[in-house]
Amino acid sequence: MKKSLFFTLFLLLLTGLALAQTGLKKRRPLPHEYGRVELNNFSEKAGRAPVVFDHWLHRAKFTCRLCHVDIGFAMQAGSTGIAAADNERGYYCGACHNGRTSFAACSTKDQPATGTCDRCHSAGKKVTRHYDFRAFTEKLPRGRFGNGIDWEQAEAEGSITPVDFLAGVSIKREALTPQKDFDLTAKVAGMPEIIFSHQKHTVWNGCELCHPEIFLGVKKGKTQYSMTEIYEGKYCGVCHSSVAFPLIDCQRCHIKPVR
Amino acid sequence: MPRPSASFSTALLLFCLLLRPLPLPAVEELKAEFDAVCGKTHNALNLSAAEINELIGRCDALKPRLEKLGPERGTERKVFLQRLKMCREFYAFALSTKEENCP
Repeated sequence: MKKSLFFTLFLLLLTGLALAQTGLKKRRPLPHEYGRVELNNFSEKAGRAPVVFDHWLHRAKFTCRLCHVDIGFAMQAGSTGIAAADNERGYYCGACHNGRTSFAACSTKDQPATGTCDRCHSAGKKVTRHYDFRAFTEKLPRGRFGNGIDWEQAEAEGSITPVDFLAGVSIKREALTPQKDFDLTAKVAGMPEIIFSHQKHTVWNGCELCHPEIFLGVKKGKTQYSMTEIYEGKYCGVCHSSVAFPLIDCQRCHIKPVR
Repeated sequence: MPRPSASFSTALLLFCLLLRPLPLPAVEELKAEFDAVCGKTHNALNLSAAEINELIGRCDALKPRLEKLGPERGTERKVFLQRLKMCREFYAFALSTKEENCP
């Protein structure tokens, strides 16, 4: 009797510890998982598995601006409310996944099983990815965190050439006027200053992806923010906690020696 | 059965015309105006305050026209209203930046 009581208590203790662990510590995503988004606005209601969207594959081919400005995907996962009908009409995923630019987006529940539905609607399914992360990224410059890829370097050296214009969707614009880079003083004494490169950011983002929604003021010091807020996913953290190199890669931003 | 009056028939016809889906050229016209208005964001900081104000005015004029798109054009309404919002906000941002720098 005493033995079984002891065993039950021991089991309860172990369960508690296991639950406490998952509750406290967030697992760092593996390189191929970093930037992964699951979308389930209507999928399960329509009898499909939620969509698993990998940023690494799409960012290797397109700029952030193309998808989040020209195509109109919101910056917060799930807030765009993409419906199959939208894709069918050639918007959102359907802007490229139309059977011409890329494989067609799965549109209706009764669509013949072409096998393409599972390529995106794959949450909880054992799906062999068409693009293997390791093979795809093999020759790309290495990064320390996130996807383990230095995307900025990859773009600069031409290992990837992200497309920034989609015919029929994008507006033909004049070339972007380059804005000056600037430094930002770190709030913690002894911490190297930040060099913010407008040049590097505009290659991927253009203007209106960051201004004014993420950064209200262009004048230095107008938008006040702290590392805590950035870690909460605001300001730089909008991208640098989910898709772009993560915040633990301190030296990528804090690079200017303290004078 | 009494015949409907001419005014009733006209009213019914007008009602039906209002209810019918917006023809394709009308949507294309809205898209063309959107492209013309929002195609200058890249160089907005080089435009004069008057030019930016004019673009903001055109954004404000386009918004209710997009909002009027019926349910059959729901996708276009959703996509272009979101894109217009970003574009209009950026012009307002560019204008305030200009005013801050050259008060």
